[in-house]
Amino acid sequence: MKIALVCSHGGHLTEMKQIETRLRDADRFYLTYPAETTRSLPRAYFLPQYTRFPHLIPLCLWKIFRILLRERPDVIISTGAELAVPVFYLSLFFPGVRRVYVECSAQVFRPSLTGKLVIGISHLFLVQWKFLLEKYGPRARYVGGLI
Amino acid sequence: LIYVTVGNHFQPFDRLIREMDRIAQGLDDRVVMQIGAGVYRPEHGEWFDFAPFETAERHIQEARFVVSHAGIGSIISARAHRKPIILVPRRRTFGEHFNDHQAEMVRVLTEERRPGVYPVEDVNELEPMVRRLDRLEEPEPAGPADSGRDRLLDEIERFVFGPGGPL
Repeated sequence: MKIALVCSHGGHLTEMKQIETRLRDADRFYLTYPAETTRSLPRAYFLPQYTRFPHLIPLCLWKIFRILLRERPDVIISTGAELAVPVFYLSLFFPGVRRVYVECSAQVFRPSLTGKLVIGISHLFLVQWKFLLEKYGPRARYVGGLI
Repeated sequence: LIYVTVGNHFQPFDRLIREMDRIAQGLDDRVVMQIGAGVYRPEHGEWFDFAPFETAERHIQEARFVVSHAGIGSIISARAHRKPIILVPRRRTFGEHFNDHQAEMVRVLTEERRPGVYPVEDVNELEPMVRRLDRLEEPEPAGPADSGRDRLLDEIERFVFGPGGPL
């Protein structure tokens, strides 16, 4: 079992660390942004923050594809934000990968753009506030929140 | 120790740091501030811009209470360490975030009245709240994590290690 963990370097990472406590001894690696908070992660690939630096989008996509090709994860879990979009879509080239998206608990009433873009290709899509269920429709599930 | 944090967002939140620096003058406790991308340099406390995850956790652990932007990471960490936390929302109009989701967070947390979580609408309400917690011998800590957190983690664990399902 190999798991890719996809998240930004702030609160999304804190959420991911909560999830990581349940991933037992599964082989796993991070796809994230370079920052003080991510420097000490045991296994991480660093990608450019493509929404801030749009000219780096091609490089970002190429790097993600290479990483997926090399690592071949069985499951991809993302707590957001935007980095989930290219990773989830590029993972469609690798049949059998299961995608889990956990909408950040910062999204209380309004769906995130990332959530709207990946809900259609997520095998498990969880929101952390029940207000979001009607916004996202039947593919979204609510069982509880981290905060 | 009182730990002040604006999280890892790339936009500044100087309104909070400036106000906490002013309030810090009148406090006996040591105040440590993580100022993020801000340009205002505190004069009445120690400060740094960004730090590794573990450093922030250590400050939270040592703190009597935490004053923070209304970010998820800070709330989760404060709960994990059973510390009271005051939350002040970043605002879009001041160039502190892309949108006003932190104000929404504060609104919903105000309604839900969670133990140990003290949301304020704006920086002008910060001083009374800080003084209130400062006066208490042992302010009520945030958390412990309720079953909602466990249910979410159970669900993910079950999916990852279970048979999976069709898309």
